[in-house]
Amino acid sequence: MKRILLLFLVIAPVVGLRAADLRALWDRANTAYVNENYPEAIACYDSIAVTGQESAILYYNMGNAYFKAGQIGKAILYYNRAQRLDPSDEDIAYNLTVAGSYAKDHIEPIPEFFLKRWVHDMRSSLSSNEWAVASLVLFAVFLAALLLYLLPLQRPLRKTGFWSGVVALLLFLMAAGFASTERREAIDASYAIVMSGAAPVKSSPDAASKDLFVLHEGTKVKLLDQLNGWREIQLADGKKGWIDTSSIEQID
Amino acid sequence: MRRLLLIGVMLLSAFVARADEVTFEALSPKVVTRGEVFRVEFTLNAEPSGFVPPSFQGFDVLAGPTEAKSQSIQIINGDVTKSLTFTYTFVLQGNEAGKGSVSAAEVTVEGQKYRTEPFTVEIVDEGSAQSSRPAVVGGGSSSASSEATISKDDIFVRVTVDKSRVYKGEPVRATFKLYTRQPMSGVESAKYPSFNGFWTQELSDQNYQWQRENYNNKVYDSRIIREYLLYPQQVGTLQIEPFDLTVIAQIIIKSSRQSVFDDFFGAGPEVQEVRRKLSTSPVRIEVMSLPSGAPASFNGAVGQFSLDATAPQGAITANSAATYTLRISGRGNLPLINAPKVEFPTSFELYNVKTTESLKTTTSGISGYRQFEYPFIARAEGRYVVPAIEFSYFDPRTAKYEILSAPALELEIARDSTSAGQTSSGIVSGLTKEEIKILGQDIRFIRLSSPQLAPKGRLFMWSPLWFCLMGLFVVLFIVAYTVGNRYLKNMRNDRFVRGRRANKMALRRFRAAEDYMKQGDQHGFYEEMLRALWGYMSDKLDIPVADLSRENIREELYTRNIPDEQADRFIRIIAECEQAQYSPVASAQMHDIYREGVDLLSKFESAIKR
Repeated sequence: MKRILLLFLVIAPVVGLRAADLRALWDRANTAYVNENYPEAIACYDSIAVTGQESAILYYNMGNAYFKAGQIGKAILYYNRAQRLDPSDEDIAYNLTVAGSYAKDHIEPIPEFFLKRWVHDMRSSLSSNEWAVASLVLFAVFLAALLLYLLPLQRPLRKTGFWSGVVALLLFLMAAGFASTERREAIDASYAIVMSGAAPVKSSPDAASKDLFVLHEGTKVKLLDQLNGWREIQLADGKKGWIDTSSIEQID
Repeated sequence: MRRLLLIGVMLLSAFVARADEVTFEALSPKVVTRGEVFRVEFTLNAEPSGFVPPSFQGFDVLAGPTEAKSQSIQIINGDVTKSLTFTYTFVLQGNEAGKGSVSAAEVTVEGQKYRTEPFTVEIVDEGSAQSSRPAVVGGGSSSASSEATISKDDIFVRVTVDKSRVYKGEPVRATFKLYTRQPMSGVESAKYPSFNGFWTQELSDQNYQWQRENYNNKVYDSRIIREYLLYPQQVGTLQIEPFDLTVIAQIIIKSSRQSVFDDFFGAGPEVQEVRRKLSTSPVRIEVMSLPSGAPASFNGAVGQFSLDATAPQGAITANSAATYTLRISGRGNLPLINAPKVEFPTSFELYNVKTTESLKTTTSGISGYRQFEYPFIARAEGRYVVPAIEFSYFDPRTAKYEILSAPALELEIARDSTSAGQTSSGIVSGLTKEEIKILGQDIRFIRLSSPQLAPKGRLFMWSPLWFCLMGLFVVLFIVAYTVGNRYLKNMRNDRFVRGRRANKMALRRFRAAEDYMKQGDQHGFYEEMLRALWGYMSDKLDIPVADLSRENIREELYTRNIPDEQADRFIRIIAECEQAQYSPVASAQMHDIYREGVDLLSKFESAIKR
């Protein structure tokens, strides 16, 4: 209920901003970008984003504008958001690599089990919505196959129906799983980007505690736990610690 | 007008400068012996216009005031310096042991009045001791036999300390003083103690003057040889080792061979020089340890201090240097104070602390300040807090620890605008070759096409629409199943009926064929045979007659596990029937074909169970 109310609050100003206005803003932002007026481009993109509308393309352009304005952390944040919505886009991945090379921290990720990596690669080959559509199609195929199997048809037909049903069911479960995983990742902000130039990571959620290490702008961290104003984070190489919430921004 | 003002100011300043320079001082021995004739001088470095002599109590004024004026003019590189000294001299004699006092003298210079400080002079009665020194100098009556004897009291060195019980780190002033009642020609080889257990600071040379001093009711000429400030560094009883000094004393002896000529030529009394080794007695100083309960920040500072912190001025941008300054000022063992530890944020680059000091060593200790500059460079923008700095010291006066603190410093570091964008990477460590290649490249251009906006957070998966579609599929499935099931059941019934009918139909046609065979109607027989065979297959295999061919019959039979040989026979019979149908040659095979057909169909009938 609260959520719906919130949605309304968000949408209310949007009603004022019609699609044509958004389009005009979009064009203005792109023009500003072309004219290398990056702060204005960012401002225009931002005013589109605050309406609650989003798309991979919008975030991609925002990332570009921030990158050109020299704000590497923001650029990486928006590329990550864009990649959330469209994991298979090559340009986003490329620009994220370029922006990532400007970040000061180079964290060696723990090598993943190859099967896990394959699964991940496969999952990120389609976006959540695409996987959802695929899951629907596969569900339909499964039902059709089930029909073939259940109806009193000739034996070979029923046999075909059975096996193709099994395959379609497995594929459906996979697609639905991928879609929901990507959906969860997109909705629950489980990752964040370090925004402040240098942020100390503490051993406990307390400003007086010991500094474990220092993270720099643009580093991606996994969010684990939280306690009044502090977030527990984990790096790709497995290091853990607590960081001030104000120095990170969630990818959501 | 302006010029006039300028001249006025110049004149005024000249006047002020001159007025500032006027000094009026009294010079007098502090101690005299009873009956001694001595002089008191009042000196002024300006031309006086009036002099009010002081009043003397306890003295007889033998002469004075006598005015004397001396003037010197110096020209250095065209600068003329004029110095003038005006002296009023009184000759006095103290007649009673005790204290005599001299009140203030007053002098007027250019309408301005100057006064000296009143002072007292101690008059010592040396009793039956030998006559005062002027008499000795004067060659008195002592004979040559007394030559070269100097009593221990006549010349000695002494060390005095201002405190003998101190806290560790609290300064002790040690004064080495030479006392003499004999004329001296010089001092040789002084050996100062090593002051074990102390940190020493020699007090700056103050051009020590000979002074008259009363010691044990005797008037001596005394002179400070050296003064030290001693800072004990150890707890316990410390000892100032003896100080050795060799002096050359002059002893006046009357020559036994004194003649008129000698007197005439002014040879006077002979002077014999005697070397004398003097030594002080050791002095013990008890050093107390500092009381317990020292604050954590205590680092050995003893005295009275104050702490000032100066935050960096102005806005600080990232990558630019700034300085945080701490100044500890006051009195105490300042040179021993180390820079307090400042906890800068970890992302700051820190450099060596620069220490500057301005210290003045006075008899009461070292005073001044010690300043610590902490240079740092903030490498990234943001808000940082430098925690409060605590500095504590021990105050020996109150025997308590005092804690000073500088408040926490909030720093707002602005983004480094000069190195935005591509150059901001600065030092990028750990780049592989591939990454360096990427650095050289630019990002890809923005998309100019439609943004394809969608409300945020609205994803298809698990959305109502997704569930609706899933439900729709399920409903469609159920409908398709029920409809399909019913249809197929009907169809199966249909087929079942036909399948059962097939045999009957075939039998009926065989019977008809049999009739034709009996009639000898060859054409009719074969036609009826074919119809029976095709019709049976059509019904049995559920394939319309029009779609039947020899090939698909063979296939269908094969799938129904009919032996190939039977299928071949069936195909052959059909072929024979078709061939014979229009053949003019009468055949006696009609009976065989009939029998074989019936036989085959009965075999099929038992094989194909549907």
